[in-house]
Amino acid sequence: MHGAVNQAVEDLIVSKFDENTWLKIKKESGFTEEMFLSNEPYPDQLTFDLVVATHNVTGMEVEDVLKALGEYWVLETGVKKYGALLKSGGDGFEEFVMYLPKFHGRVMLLYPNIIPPEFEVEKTMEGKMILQYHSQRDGLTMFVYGLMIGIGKMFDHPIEVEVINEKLKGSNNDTFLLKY
Amino acid sequence: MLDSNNFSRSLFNKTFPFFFTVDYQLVIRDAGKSLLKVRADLIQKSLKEVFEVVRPGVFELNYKSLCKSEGKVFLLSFKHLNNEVLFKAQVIVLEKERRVLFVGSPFVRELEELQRLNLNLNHFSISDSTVDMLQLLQVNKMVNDDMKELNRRLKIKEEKYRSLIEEAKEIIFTTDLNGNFTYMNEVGIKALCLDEEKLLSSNFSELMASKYSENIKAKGLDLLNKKIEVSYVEFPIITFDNLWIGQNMTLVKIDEKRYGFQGIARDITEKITYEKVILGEKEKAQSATKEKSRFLANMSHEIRTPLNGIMGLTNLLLDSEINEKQKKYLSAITSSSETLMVVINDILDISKIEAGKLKISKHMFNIKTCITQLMEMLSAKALEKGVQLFYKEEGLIPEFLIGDEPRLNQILYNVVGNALKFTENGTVEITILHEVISDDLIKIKISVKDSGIGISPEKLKHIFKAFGQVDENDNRKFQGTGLGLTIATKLVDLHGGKIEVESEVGVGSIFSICLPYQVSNGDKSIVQRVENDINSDGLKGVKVLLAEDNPVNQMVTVDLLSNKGAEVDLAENGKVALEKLVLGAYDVVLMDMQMPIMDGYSAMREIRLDSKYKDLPILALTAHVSAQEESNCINNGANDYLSKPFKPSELFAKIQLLVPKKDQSETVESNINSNQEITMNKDNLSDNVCDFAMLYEFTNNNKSIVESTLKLLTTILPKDIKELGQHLSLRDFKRIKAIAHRSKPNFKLIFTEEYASVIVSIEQLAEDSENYNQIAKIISDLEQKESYILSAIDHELSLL
Repeated sequence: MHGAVNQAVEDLIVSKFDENTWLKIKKESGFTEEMFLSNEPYPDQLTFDLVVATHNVTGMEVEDVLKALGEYWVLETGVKKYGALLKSGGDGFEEFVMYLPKFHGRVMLLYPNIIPPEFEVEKTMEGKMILQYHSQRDGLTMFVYGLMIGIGKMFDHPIEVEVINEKLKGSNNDTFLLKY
Repeated sequence: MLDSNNFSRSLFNKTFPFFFTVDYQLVIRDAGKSLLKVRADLIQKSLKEVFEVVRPGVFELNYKSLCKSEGKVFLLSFKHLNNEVLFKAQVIVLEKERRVLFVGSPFVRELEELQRLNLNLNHFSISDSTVDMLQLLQVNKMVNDDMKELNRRLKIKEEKYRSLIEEAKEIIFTTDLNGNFTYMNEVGIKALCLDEEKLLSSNFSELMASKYSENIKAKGLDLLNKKIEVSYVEFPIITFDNLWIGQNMTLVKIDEKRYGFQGIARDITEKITYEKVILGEKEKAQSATKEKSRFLANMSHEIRTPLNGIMGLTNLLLDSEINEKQKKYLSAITSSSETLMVVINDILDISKIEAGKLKISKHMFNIKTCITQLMEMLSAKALEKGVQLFYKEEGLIPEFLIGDEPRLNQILYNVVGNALKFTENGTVEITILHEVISDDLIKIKISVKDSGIGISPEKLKHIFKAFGQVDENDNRKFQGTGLGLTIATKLVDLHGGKIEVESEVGVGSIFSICLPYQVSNGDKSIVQRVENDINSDGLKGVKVLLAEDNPVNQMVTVDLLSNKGAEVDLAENGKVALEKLVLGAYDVVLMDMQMPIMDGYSAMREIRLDSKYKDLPILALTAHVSAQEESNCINNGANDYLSKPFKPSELFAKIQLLVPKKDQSETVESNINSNQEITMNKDNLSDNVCDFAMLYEFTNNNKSIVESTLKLLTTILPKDIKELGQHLSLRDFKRIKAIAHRSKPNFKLIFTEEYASVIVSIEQLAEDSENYNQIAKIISDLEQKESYILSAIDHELSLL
């Protein structure tokens, strides 16, 4: 997982709780360096350890941590880090999501050590899309859920996200129904 | 290619979404959808109206020129965006259509320009590297932002820790592995008066003496080799008169290849000063204790040696033919000697206990026999006072226990003796019972109940304290040192037991003693045999080698043993003892410890070197009384030891324990004939120096013993004085001390108390060679008086 996602965990905890809480979570996760570097690849397990440590320290449910993280990543970390690049992913929610596959395809070239997820998007009818999320990592369903909510908020477009299939529950991949 | 075929145009639009075409009049005829996003109205507009040609710089913009420019790179700028955004393109001439095709894309240098162009990333074709470049730019920016953030955080931390270090009261420093300073905080620089500018070219070893810096270097190596994690050292700073530093040092990793040391140090001058003071006080206290112990040991020796003589001679006299009056006087002497011995023992015991030198030994003994003997010892006293002394046992008490019989005896003697002392009439009742703790562990509970004067509650608090007697107003009424109960209490404590008292004034007191003991499963027959042997008379046929240099002690001991049927051979020192051992066969050796030429310790060691004598029983006789002395004797080869003065029965018992049983016979009568009374002719006392009163007193005016002692002294005294002079000239203080020690009893027999003390002075002064002049003075005086002394002895002999 690239560092920007782990940075989002730190930023989320510091903004939602405080520095001290982050230090406790950091200590519990076993991460000893001063900070995460945005473009540095880190072991996926570290991200999971951070999420679990957040649950242990704050009491937040793991699912809620992931949702909050996904949303926060888009609205705060993503905008801070990628800025105009993120917003230039599309003129609105629909275009942005439709072009997610192409976006991640380009991103892959910049981070050779990271295997980004793949998205498949299909507009089923006006105001509805099916998003297929393919990833080597398990357990990030709610993170993607949060990402979608965040993207909707970034474009000031209220959306609903429904998880239709979950890889953790035996499906081949995660499938989301987006209503907007 | 660009015909009305939508498939081809669609494909071209996807591949080159920013294309546009101009006709021969340079009017824009067609444009890609992404370019139309930038400017929707550019179709049918003139090229010159929409774009400014930036490159080629010198270029006449017409159809003909464009046709000649195929393959060239054109840089155009959007006029509607104030020429601030560029468009890079390549020209392709479409001859058939009479058009020129421009293919390219906006040259975007930052993402914000996309917004200005009304574009997003999706408006660029997949083959257009503009997006990749923009993303790379963004990644680069993110990296820079991360570095800035990291620097910011590190700076905050650095400030925080610097502040902690600089504001700390301790000296904080770092060095490289060679000890060159790489950093020291302000506190340290000021405290050590260092030149801040020269700090980085200083080495820690410059601050201390080499022995300390070598030690620190060694510790540094241990840190480097991970033998230790932290080192602590203390050292004085040589640039100060009195500044001591206590320093903790650890190894630190500077980077992948480099290590250094870091340390925290503080001024410990005050602590060192206190330690020196405490050490000084401790040494003083130890010296005082040592002096006290030596004083007590000397006093013990001084008092015990003559007392031994007195008691021994008294016993011999009691065994000889004497009249009733003499018997009465001698019994009084015995009683007084024993009382004196008790007093001496009390004082020495309390001293030993306080010094922690008294140990409870563990041997098998019969508790019933112990109590019975105690009763026998005290029954006379009870009878004398008209007090009834009872003893009863409750329950079946295990007979044989493991413990210190003499000390138990001492406890009970003190407590019961005390009860008798304070009971004028009535009873003293001793009750003994036991409590089982485990298979081999019991508690013996002894209660001593008297109908004596009782103790008031206020005085009960002090009853076990030293010198505390019940009746403080008339402490002469009840004789004694006042140490008895204190000693008993301390002995009980050493046993791990308990002693308590209940009392009522006018009614009486109950002392309860509880002592833990291990029950013995050992050979009871041994104890029984010993008891039988001790109780029986006679050492008939026992061959004894007595190594003793003091003539009086020789005489007493030989006579005591001979009276019991033993055959005694005499050796005046350890060397002679060894010679006699070779020539004769002995059942037991009685070895005095302090002898000239070869002392008892050396002699015993020599004896044990020979395997022939490994089982030869040796009983050490010593006037020094301490656990250390006992240990010395045993460690040097003694089987047992007996401290002077000893009771004859103690000597007999010890010998019988050491020697296999011999035939018993009746006691051989003493061959000392006590003849007529000799009255001391006070007129014949010579002058201030000689005084024979002690000799007469010691021998109970026995003419024969007085005569033989005086004759012996005419030989011994000149010899001793001569040897003192010889060894003084040789500056052999050790020998001087030994001669003085052995001569002490003799001096006391024939000199005044004042003059007799000179030999004690010589013995003490000989401890230090610095006292040479003082010793020389005393010996010179002795030499000068020698002829007078001999004359006095001769005169005294003539009077006998």
